[in-house]
Amino acid sequence: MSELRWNPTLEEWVVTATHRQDRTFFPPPDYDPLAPTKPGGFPTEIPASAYEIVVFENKFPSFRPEPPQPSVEGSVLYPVRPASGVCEVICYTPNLDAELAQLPAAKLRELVRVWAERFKDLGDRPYVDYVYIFENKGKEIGVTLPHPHGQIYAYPFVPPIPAKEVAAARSYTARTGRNLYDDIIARENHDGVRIVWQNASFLCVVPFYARYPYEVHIIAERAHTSLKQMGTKELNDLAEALRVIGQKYNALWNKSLPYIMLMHQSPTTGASYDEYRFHVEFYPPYRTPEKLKYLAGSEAGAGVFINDTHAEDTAKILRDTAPLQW
Amino acid sequence: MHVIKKTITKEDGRALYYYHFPGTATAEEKQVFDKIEGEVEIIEEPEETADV
Repeated sequence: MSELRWNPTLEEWVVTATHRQDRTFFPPPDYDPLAPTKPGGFPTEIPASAYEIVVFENKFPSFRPEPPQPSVEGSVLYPVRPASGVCEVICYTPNLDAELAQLPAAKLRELVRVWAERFKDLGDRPYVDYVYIFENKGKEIGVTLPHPHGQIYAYPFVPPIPAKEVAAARSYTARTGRNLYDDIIARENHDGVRIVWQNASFLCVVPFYARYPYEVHIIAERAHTSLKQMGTKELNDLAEALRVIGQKYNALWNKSLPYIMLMHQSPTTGASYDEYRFHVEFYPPYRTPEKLKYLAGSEAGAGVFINDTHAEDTAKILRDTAPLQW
Repeated sequence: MHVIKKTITKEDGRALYYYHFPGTATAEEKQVFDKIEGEVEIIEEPEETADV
Protein backbone atom coordinates (compact mmCIF):
# COMPACT_ATOMS: atom_id res chain seq x y z
CA MET A 1 0.00 0.00 0.00
CA SER A 2 0.96 3.69 -0.10
CA GLU A 3 2.81 5.77 2.42
CA LEU A 4 5.02 8.86 2.47
CA ARG A 5 8.63 8.43 3.53
CA TRP A 6 10.76 11.50 4.25
CA ASN A 7 14.15 11.78 2.59
CA PRO A 8 16.13 13.90 5.10
CA THR A 9 19.07 14.26 2.68
CA LEU A 10 16.95 16.16 0.14
CA GLU A 11 14.16 17.23 2.49
CA GLU A 12 11.43 15.84 0.28
CA TRP A 13 8.78 13.14 0.40
CA VAL A 14 8.99 9.86 -1.50
CA VAL A 15 5.76 7.92 -2.11
CA THR A 16 5.87 4.15 -1.83
CA ALA A 17 2.93 2.48 -3.57
CA THR A 18 3.67 -1.23 -3.62
CA HIS A 19 0.23 -2.25 -4.94
CA ARG A 20 0.99 -0.43 -8.22
CA GLN A 21 3.32 -3.29 -9.19
CA ASP A 22 0.15 -5.18 -10.13
CA ARG A 23 -1.54 -2.44 -12.18
CA THR A 24 -2.99 -3.12 -15.62
CA PHE A 25 -0.24 -3.27 -18.25
CA PHE A 26 -1.07 -2.87 -21.95
CA PRO A 27 -4.34 -4.84 -22.00
CA PRO A 28 -5.63 -6.16 -25.38
CA PRO A 29 -8.07 -3.80 -27.19
CA ASP A 30 -11.12 -5.89 -26.21
CA TYR A 31 -10.23 -5.35 -22.56
CA ASP A 32 -9.61 -1.61 -22.70
CA PRO A 33 -10.49 -0.44 -19.15
CA LEU A 34 -11.06 3.17 -20.28
CA ALA A 35 -13.68 2.35 -22.93
CA PRO A 36 -17.40 2.59 -22.19
CA THR A 37 -18.96 -0.69 -21.02
CA LYS A 38 -20.98 -2.11 -23.89
CA PRO A 39 -24.07 -4.26 -23.10
CA GLY A 40 -22.90 -7.82 -22.47
CA GLY A 41 -19.28 -6.80 -22.85
CA PHE A 42 -16.23 -6.59 -20.62
CA PRO A 43 -17.03 -4.38 -17.58
CA THR A 44 -14.61 -1.48 -17.87
CA GLU A 45 -13.87 1.30 -15.38
CA ILE A 46 -16.77 3.26 -16.89
CA PRO A 47 -20.14 1.54 -16.37
CA ALA A 48 -22.06 3.69 -18.91
CA SER A 49 -22.29 2.60 -22.55
CA ALA A 50 -21.22 6.04 -23.80
CA TYR A 51 -19.53 9.07 -22.30
CA GLU A 52 -18.45 12.59 -23.15
CA ILE A 53 -15.90 13.24 -20.40
CA VAL A 54 -15.59 11.08 -17.32
CA VAL A 55 -13.31 11.31 -14.28
CA PHE A 56 -12.78 8.62 -11.67
CA GLU A 57 -10.47 7.76 -8.81
CA ASN A 58 -7.55 5.62 -9.96
CA LYS A 59 -7.88 1.90 -9.18
CA PHE A 60 -4.18 1.83 -8.29
CA PRO A 61 -3.69 5.18 -6.56
CA SER A 62 -0.56 6.56 -4.97
CA PHE A 63 -2.78 8.77 -2.77
CA ARG A 64 -6.23 8.08 -1.26
CA PRO A 65 -8.74 10.29 0.56
CA GLU A 66 -8.73 7.77 3.43
CA PRO A 67 -5.26 6.21 3.34
CA PRO A 68 -4.02 3.33 5.50
CA GLN A 69 -1.52 3.97 8.25
CA PRO A 70 2.13 3.59 7.17
CA SER A 71 3.56 0.07 7.34
CA VAL A 72 6.51 1.26 9.42
CA GLU A 73 6.81 3.52 12.45
CA GLY A 74 8.28 6.95 11.82
CA SER A 75 11.14 8.55 13.72
CA VAL A 76 12.89 11.93 13.95
CA LEU A 77 15.35 10.75 11.33
CA TYR A 78 12.80 9.00 9.11
CA PRO A 79 9.33 10.58 9.41
CA VAL A 80 6.44 8.79 7.69
CA ARG A 81 2.90 9.95 6.85
CA PRO A 82 -0.24 8.37 5.44
CA ALA A 83 -0.50 9.02 1.69
CA SER A 84 -3.64 11.16 1.90
CA GLY A 85 -4.76 12.79 -1.34
CA VAL A 86 -6.49 11.79 -4.55
CA CYS A 87 -5.38 10.25 -7.85
CA GLU A 88 -7.86 10.67 -10.68
CA VAL A 89 -8.06 9.51 -14.28
CA ILE A 90 -9.69 11.71 -16.95
CA CYS A 91 -11.11 10.09 -20.08
CA TYR A 92 -12.13 12.50 -22.83
CA THR A 93 -12.74 10.14 -25.72
CA PRO A 94 -14.12 6.63 -26.03
CA ASN A 95 -11.80 6.04 -28.98
CA LEU A 96 -8.65 4.05 -28.36
CA ASP A 97 -6.77 5.66 -31.26
CA ALA A 98 -7.68 9.30 -30.58
CA GLU A 99 -5.35 11.85 -29.03
CA LEU A 100 -5.67 15.17 -27.26
CA ALA A 101 -4.41 17.42 -30.06
CA GLN A 102 -6.71 15.80 -32.60
CA LEU A 103 -9.90 16.28 -30.58
CA PRO A 104 -12.51 18.57 -32.11
CA ALA A 105 -11.94 22.14 -30.88
CA ALA A 106 -15.19 22.11 -28.90
CA LYS A 107 -14.24 18.87 -27.13
CA LEU A 108 -10.87 20.27 -26.10
CA ARG A 109 -12.61 23.37 -24.70
CA GLU A 110 -14.87 21.07 -22.68
CA LEU A 111 -11.86 19.19 -21.34
CA VAL A 112 -10.32 22.46 -20.14
CA ARG A 113 -13.62 23.28 -18.38
CA VAL A 114 -13.44 19.91 -16.61
CA TRP A 115 -9.81 20.50 -15.59
CA ALA A 116 -10.88 23.83 -14.06
CA GLU A 117 -13.72 22.15 -12.18
CA ARG A 118 -11.47 19.36 -10.89
CA PHE A 119 -8.87 21.94 -9.75
CA LYS A 120 -11.52 23.71 -7.69
CA ASP A 121 -13.13 20.55 -6.29
CA LEU A 122 -9.86 18.92 -5.25
CA GLY A 123 -8.14 22.14 -4.19
CA ASP A 124 -10.98 22.94 -1.80
CA ARG A 125 -10.40 19.74 0.17
CA PRO A 126 -8.59 20.34 3.47
CA TYR A 127 -6.08 17.52 2.98
CA VAL A 128 -4.95 18.77 -0.47
CA ASP A 129 -2.14 21.33 -0.83
CA TYR A 130 -1.45 20.96 -4.53
CA VAL A 131 -3.48 19.89 -7.58
CA TYR A 132 -1.34 18.59 -10.41
CA ILE A 133 -2.94 17.96 -13.82
CA PHE A 134 -0.87 16.06 -16.36
CA GLU A 135 -0.90 13.67 -19.28
CA ASN A 136 1.68 11.07 -20.23
CA LYS A 137 1.53 10.26 -23.94
CA GLY A 138 3.35 7.37 -25.59
CA LYS A 139 5.06 4.18 -24.51
CA GLU A 140 8.40 6.03 -24.49
CA ILE A 141 7.05 8.01 -21.52
CA GLY A 142 6.00 4.86 -19.70
CA VAL A 143 2.25 4.76 -20.19
CA THR A 144 0.72 1.41 -19.30
CA LEU A 145 -2.68 1.99 -20.93
CA PRO A 146 -2.74 2.90 -24.64
CA HIS A 147 -6.18 4.57 -24.37
CA PRO A 148 -5.58 8.35 -24.29
CA HIS A 149 -6.26 9.80 -20.86
CA GLY A 150 -5.08 12.43 -18.45
CA GLN A 151 -4.41 12.23 -14.75
CA ILE A 152 -4.70 14.43 -11.68
CA TYR A 153 -2.69 14.02 -8.51
CA ALA A 154 -3.97 15.94 -5.50
CA TYR A 155 -0.99 16.00 -3.14
CA PRO A 156 -1.06 16.57 0.64
CA PHE A 157 2.04 18.78 0.25
CA VAL A 158 3.46 21.19 -2.32
CA PRO A 159 5.77 19.11 -4.57
CA PRO A 160 9.43 20.19 -4.90
CA ILE A 161 9.39 21.67 -8.40
CA PRO A 162 6.31 23.90 -7.99
CA ALA A 163 7.59 24.86 -4.52
CA LYS A 164 10.93 25.88 -6.03
CA GLU A 165 9.17 27.87 -8.77
CA VAL A 166 7.01 29.69 -6.23
CA ALA A 167 10.07 30.50 -4.11
CA ALA A 168 11.95 31.74 -7.18
CA ALA A 169 9.03 33.97 -8.23
CA ARG A 170 8.79 35.44 -4.72
CA SER A 171 12.53 35.98 -4.54
CA TYR A 172 12.51 37.75 -7.91
CA THR A 173 9.73 40.08 -6.82
CA ALA A 174 11.54 40.80 -3.55
CA ARG A 175 14.74 41.67 -5.44
CA THR A 176 13.27 43.67 -8.32
CA GLY A 177 9.77 44.71 -7.33
CA ARG A 178 8.49 43.14 -10.55
CA ASN A 179 6.71 39.92 -11.46
CA LEU A 180 9.02 37.23 -12.82
CA TYR A 181 6.54 35.97 -15.39
CA ASP A 182 5.68 39.47 -16.64
CA ASP A 183 9.38 39.98 -17.25
CA ILE A 184 9.77 36.60 -19.00
CA ILE A 185 6.83 37.42 -21.30
CA ALA A 186 8.20 40.89 -22.03
CA ARG A 187 11.66 39.51 -22.79
CA GLU A 188 10.29 36.76 -25.05
CA ASN A 189 8.12 39.23 -26.94
CA HIS A 190 11.14 41.54 -27.31
CA ASP A 191 13.51 38.81 -28.51
CA GLY A 192 10.89 36.94 -30.54
CA VAL A 193 13.26 34.10 -31.41
CA ARG A 194 11.92 31.60 -28.88
CA ILE A 195 8.23 32.17 -29.59
CA VAL A 196 6.45 29.21 -31.16
CA TRP A 197 2.91 30.58 -31.25
CA GLN A 198 0.65 32.92 -29.30
CA ASN A 199 -2.92 34.10 -28.98
CA ALA A 200 -4.57 36.84 -26.92
CA SER A 201 -4.19 34.99 -23.62
CA PHE A 202 -1.16 32.70 -23.88
CA LEU A 203 2.44 32.85 -25.07
CA CYS A 204 3.96 29.57 -26.29
CA VAL A 205 7.76 29.46 -26.17
CA VAL A 206 10.68 27.09 -26.08
CA PRO A 207 12.01 28.65 -22.88
CA PHE A 208 15.47 30.22 -22.72
CA TYR A 209 16.23 27.60 -20.06
CA ALA A 210 14.68 24.60 -21.89
CA ARG A 211 15.92 21.24 -20.64
CA TYR A 212 14.47 19.15 -23.49
CA PRO A 213 15.15 20.07 -27.16
CA TYR A 214 11.47 20.57 -28.06
CA GLU A 215 10.19 21.63 -24.63
CA VAL A 216 7.37 24.18 -24.91
CA HIS A 217 5.84 26.30 -22.17
CA ILE A 218 2.41 27.89 -22.52
CA ILE A 219 2.38 30.90 -20.18
CA ALA A 220 -0.70 32.90 -19.17
CA GLU A 221 -0.38 36.54 -20.23
CA ARG A 222 -2.67 37.72 -17.45
CA ALA A 223 -1.80 37.56 -13.78
CA HIS A 224 -3.72 34.36 -13.16
CA THR A 225 -2.22 31.62 -11.05
CA SER A 226 -4.72 28.83 -11.75
CA LEU A 227 -7.54 27.69 -14.03
CA LYS A 228 -9.96 28.70 -11.27
CA GLN A 229 -9.27 32.37 -11.93
CA MET A 230 -9.89 32.19 -15.67
CA GLY A 231 -13.02 33.12 -17.57
CA THR A 232 -14.44 31.34 -20.60
CA LYS A 233 -12.41 33.30 -23.15
CA GLU A 234 -9.12 32.52 -21.44
CA LEU A 235 -10.00 28.84 -20.96
CA ASN A 236 -10.94 28.61 -24.63
CA ASP A 237 -7.68 30.30 -25.60
CA LEU A 238 -5.81 27.71 -23.55
CA ALA A 239 -7.61 24.91 -25.40
CA GLU A 240 -6.59 26.50 -28.70
CA ALA A 241 -2.95 26.78 -27.62
CA LEU A 242 -2.84 23.15 -26.50
CA ARG A 243 -4.32 22.05 -29.81
CA VAL A 244 -1.87 24.08 -31.89
CA ILE A 245 1.20 22.91 -29.97
CA GLY A 246 0.07 19.27 -30.04
CA GLN A 247 -0.58 19.44 -33.78
CA LYS A 248 2.79 21.13 -34.41
CA TYR A 249 4.45 18.29 -32.49
CA ASN A 250 2.73 15.73 -34.71
CA ALA A 251 3.74 17.64 -37.83
CA LEU A 252 7.36 17.96 -36.70
CA TRP A 253 8.38 14.49 -37.91
CA ASN A 254 4.98 13.44 -39.26
CA LYS A 255 4.34 11.11 -36.36
CA SER A 256 2.37 11.19 -33.14
CA LEU A 257 4.97 12.69 -30.82
CA PRO A 258 5.09 11.35 -27.25
CA TYR A 259 5.31 13.85 -24.42
CA ILE A 260 4.68 14.66 -20.81
CA MET A 261 2.21 17.55 -20.56
CA LEU A 262 1.72 19.14 -17.15
CA MET A 263 0.21 22.19 -15.52
CA HIS A 264 1.88 24.31 -12.88
CA GLN A 265 -0.70 26.21 -10.85
CA SER A 266 -0.71 27.89 -7.47
CA PRO A 267 -0.76 25.61 -4.42
CA THR A 268 -4.13 25.27 -2.69
CA THR A 269 -2.92 25.88 0.85
CA GLY A 270 -4.97 29.05 1.25
CA ALA A 271 -1.91 31.33 1.18
CA SER A 272 -1.35 34.04 -1.44
CA TYR A 273 0.66 33.16 -4.54
CA ASP A 274 0.32 36.41 -6.49
CA GLU A 275 3.94 36.29 -7.68
CA TYR A 276 3.31 32.97 -9.43
CA ARG A 277 1.75 32.37 -12.87
CA PHE A 278 -0.28 29.58 -14.46
CA HIS A 279 1.64 27.75 -17.16
CA VAL A 280 1.65 24.46 -19.04
CA GLU A 281 4.87 22.60 -19.82
CA PHE A 282 5.42 19.99 -22.55
CA TYR A 283 8.41 17.64 -22.43
CA PRO A 284 8.75 15.57 -25.62
CA PRO A 285 11.45 12.91 -25.09
CA TYR A 286 12.80 12.89 -28.66
CA ARG A 287 15.76 15.04 -29.76
CA THR A 288 15.68 13.74 -33.38
CA PRO A 289 13.04 11.61 -35.17
CA GLU A 290 14.76 8.45 -33.88
CA LYS A 291 16.86 9.49 -30.89
CA LEU A 292 15.53 9.84 -27.37
CA LYS A 293 16.77 12.28 -24.75
CA TYR A 294 17.51 10.05 -21.77
CA LEU A 295 17.71 11.24 -18.21
CA ALA A 296 21.14 9.82 -17.46
CA GLY A 297 23.91 10.50 -14.93
CA SER A 298 23.92 14.29 -14.89
CA GLU A 299 20.17 14.72 -15.10
CA ALA A 300 19.11 11.88 -12.77
CA GLY A 301 21.91 12.05 -10.22
CA ALA A 302 23.01 15.68 -10.19
CA GLY A 303 19.82 17.40 -11.31
CA VAL A 304 21.67 19.15 -14.14
CA PHE A 305 20.09 18.86 -17.56
CA ILE A 306 22.30 18.77 -20.63
CA ASN A 307 20.33 20.03 -23.64
CA ASP A 308 21.89 19.20 -27.02
CA THR A 309 20.11 22.12 -28.71
CA HIS A 310 19.54 25.84 -28.41
CA ALA A 311 16.00 26.99 -27.69
CA GLU A 312 16.25 29.58 -30.47
CA ASP A 313 16.85 26.86 -33.07
CA THR A 314 14.14 24.43 -32.00
CA ALA A 315 11.64 27.26 -31.48
CA LYS A 316 12.18 28.35 -35.09
CA ILE A 317 11.62 24.79 -36.31
CA LEU A 318 8.37 24.53 -34.34
CA ARG A 319 7.29 28.05 -35.33
CA ASP A 320 7.78 27.21 -39.01
CA THR A 321 5.98 23.86 -38.69
CA ALA A 322 2.31 24.07 -39.65
CA PRO A 323 -0.05 22.22 -37.27
CA LEU A 324 -1.02 18.79 -38.59
CA GLN A 325 -4.67 17.77 -38.25
CA TRP A 326 -5.54 14.18 -39.05
CA MET B 1 -23.17 27.07 -21.69
CA HIS B 2 -23.48 25.20 -18.40
CA VAL B 3 -22.14 21.69 -17.76
CA ILE B 4 -24.03 18.97 -15.92
CA LYS B 5 -22.06 16.69 -13.61
CA LYS B 6 -23.31 13.44 -12.14
CA THR B 7 -21.43 11.77 -9.30
CA ILE B 8 -21.70 8.06 -8.62
CA THR B 9 -19.83 5.76 -6.26
CA LYS B 10 -18.38 2.62 -7.77
CA GLU B 11 -18.85 -0.75 -6.07
CA ASP B 12 -15.41 -0.54 -4.48
CA GLY B 13 -16.14 2.94 -3.07
CA ARG B 14 -14.30 5.03 -5.64
CA ALA B 15 -15.89 8.25 -6.90
CA LEU B 16 -16.75 8.60 -10.59
CA TYR B 17 -17.96 11.81 -12.24
CA TYR B 18 -19.77 11.99 -15.58
CA TYR B 19 -19.73 15.38 -17.36
CA HIS B 20 -22.46 16.22 -19.87
CA PHE B 21 -22.29 19.13 -22.30
CA PRO B 22 -25.81 19.92 -23.54
CA GLY B 23 -24.52 22.07 -26.40
CA THR B 24 -22.47 19.39 -28.12
CA ALA B 25 -23.63 15.96 -26.86
CA THR B 26 -24.92 13.48 -29.40
CA ALA B 27 -28.40 12.02 -29.00
CA GLU B 28 -26.87 8.74 -27.74
CA GLU B 29 -24.62 10.53 -25.24
CA LYS B 30 -27.59 12.52 -23.92
CA GLN B 31 -29.76 9.42 -23.64
CA VAL B 32 -27.08 7.48 -21.76
CA PHE B 33 -26.32 10.42 -19.45
CA ASP B 34 -30.01 10.96 -18.65
CA LYS B 35 -30.30 7.34 -17.47
CA ILE B 36 -27.34 7.53 -15.07
CA GLU B 37 -28.51 7.68 -11.47
CA GLY B 38 -26.25 9.95 -9.48
CA GLU B 39 -25.97 13.20 -7.59
CA VAL B 40 -26.53 16.05 -10.07
CA GLU B 41 -24.61 19.32 -10.07
CA ILE B 42 -24.91 22.18 -12.55
CA ILE B 43 -21.63 23.90 -13.31
CA GLU B 44 -22.21 27.37 -14.66
CA GLU B 45 -20.16 29.06 -17.35
CA PRO B 46 -17.14 30.74 -15.72
CA GLU B 47 -17.39 34.51 -15.57
CA GLU B 48 -14.85 36.70 -17.28
CA THR B 49 -12.43 37.87 -14.63
CA ALA B 50 -10.10 40.78 -14.18
CA ASP B 51 -6.44 40.40 -13.35
CA VAL B 52 -5.95 39.46 -9.73
